[in-house]
Amino acid sequence: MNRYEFENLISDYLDGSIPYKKRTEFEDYMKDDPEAESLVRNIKTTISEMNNLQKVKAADNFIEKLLSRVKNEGIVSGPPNKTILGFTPFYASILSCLCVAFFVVASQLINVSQDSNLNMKTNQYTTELEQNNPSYSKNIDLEKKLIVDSNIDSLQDNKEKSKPNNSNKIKFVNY
Amino acid sequence: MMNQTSSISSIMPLDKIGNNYVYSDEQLMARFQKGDENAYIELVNRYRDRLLNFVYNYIGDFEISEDIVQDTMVKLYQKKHYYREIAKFSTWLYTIAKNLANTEFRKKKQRKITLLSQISRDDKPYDIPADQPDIDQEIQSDITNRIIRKAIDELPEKFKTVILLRDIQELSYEDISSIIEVPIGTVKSRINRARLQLQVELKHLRT
Repeated sequence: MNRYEFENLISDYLDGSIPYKKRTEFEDYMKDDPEAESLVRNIKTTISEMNNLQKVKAADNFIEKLLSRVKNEGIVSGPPNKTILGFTPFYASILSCLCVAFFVVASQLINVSQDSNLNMKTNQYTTELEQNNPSYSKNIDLEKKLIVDSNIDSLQDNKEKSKPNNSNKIKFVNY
Repeated sequence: MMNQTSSISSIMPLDKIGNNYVYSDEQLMARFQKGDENAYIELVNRYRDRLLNFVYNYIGDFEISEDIVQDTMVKLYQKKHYYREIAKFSTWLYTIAKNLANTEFRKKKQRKITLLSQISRDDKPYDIPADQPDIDQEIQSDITNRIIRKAIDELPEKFKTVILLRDIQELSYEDISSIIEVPIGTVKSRINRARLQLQVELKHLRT
C-alpha cells in the first residue's frame, strides 16, 4: 500500500467500512509508519472534538417570532404553479414563439437554397448542351450578338431622343 | 392564521412519547400539507436547533444564522406543496438551509468578514495553554472549539459543507449526497480530503 492509497482509506477505516484484506494492509502500513498512525489518531480526535463542539440553541421566542412573521408578512402557501412540460406558462409561450420563428426562418432558407440549386442545374444543363452540340453554342453566340446589337441600337435611339433640339430653341430674328 | 400560544401548547399529541416520535417527519409534513399547522410547529421545533447549529458553524454569526433558519422555516411554510415524499424531509429542509447559508456566505465573503474576525480581532495563531494547571477546563475547551471552528472556516466551501454535515450534524453519506446533490463516492472522497486538510490546519493544536 502506498501513501496515496493509505490516505484515501482513512475515513473508511474510521467508519469500519473497509474490507478485511484492505484493513490488514492499512494496519500494517500504520505499524511501519508511526507518522501515519499519528495522522489517523489525530483525525479520530478531531472528529470527536467536532462532535462535541459547543451547541447553540435558538432563542426562546423563535417560534413566536416566526409565526408573527408568517402572519404579518401575509405569507401564504399555495399549490405549485401549473407547468407545461416543466415550464411555467410564461416561458412555455416564449419557447413556442421561438420555435415558430425558427421554423419560419428555416423554411425561408430552404426556399432560397432550392432556387440557387435550380439556377445551378440550369447552368450545368446549358454547359452540357454547349459541349455536346456545337451548333447550339453558335446559335447562342448569335443570339447574344443580336441582343448586344439591339442594345447598342436602342442606346443610340435613346441618345438621339435625349439630344436637345437646338433649332427649336434658338431663333434668329431679323429686324 | 394561527393562535400562537394555544397552538404551541396544543402540539403535544404530535410530540415524543419517551424517545420515539409519535409521527415521522414525513407524516407531519403530510399533515401540514393538508392544512394542520400544529404539524408545522412540531417540525419547526424538531429542526430549529439542528439547522441553527449547521448554519452557525457555516456562517459563524449567531444573529445571521438565526435569521437564515427563520427564512428556512418561512420557505418550508410557503413551499409545502412542493415537497414530495420521495425525498426525506430532513434532506429537503437541509437543502433549503444550505442554499440560503451559501448565499449569505458568499455575500459575507464579499464583505471580507470571517467567523474568526468576530470571535477574535486578530489573525495570530492561538496560544494553547495546555500544560497550565490553573487554566480552567472550560476555558481550555472553549479555546479548542474556537481553533476547530477557525480551521473549519478556512476549508474550501465544498469541503466545509460536507464536514459540517458529517462530523457535526452526523448525517449519513446518503443524506449528504442528496443535500449537496453529488454522488456518494464524491461525498466520501470530499470528507476524507476535508479531514486531511483539517489536520494541516490543526497541526499546531496537536503539537
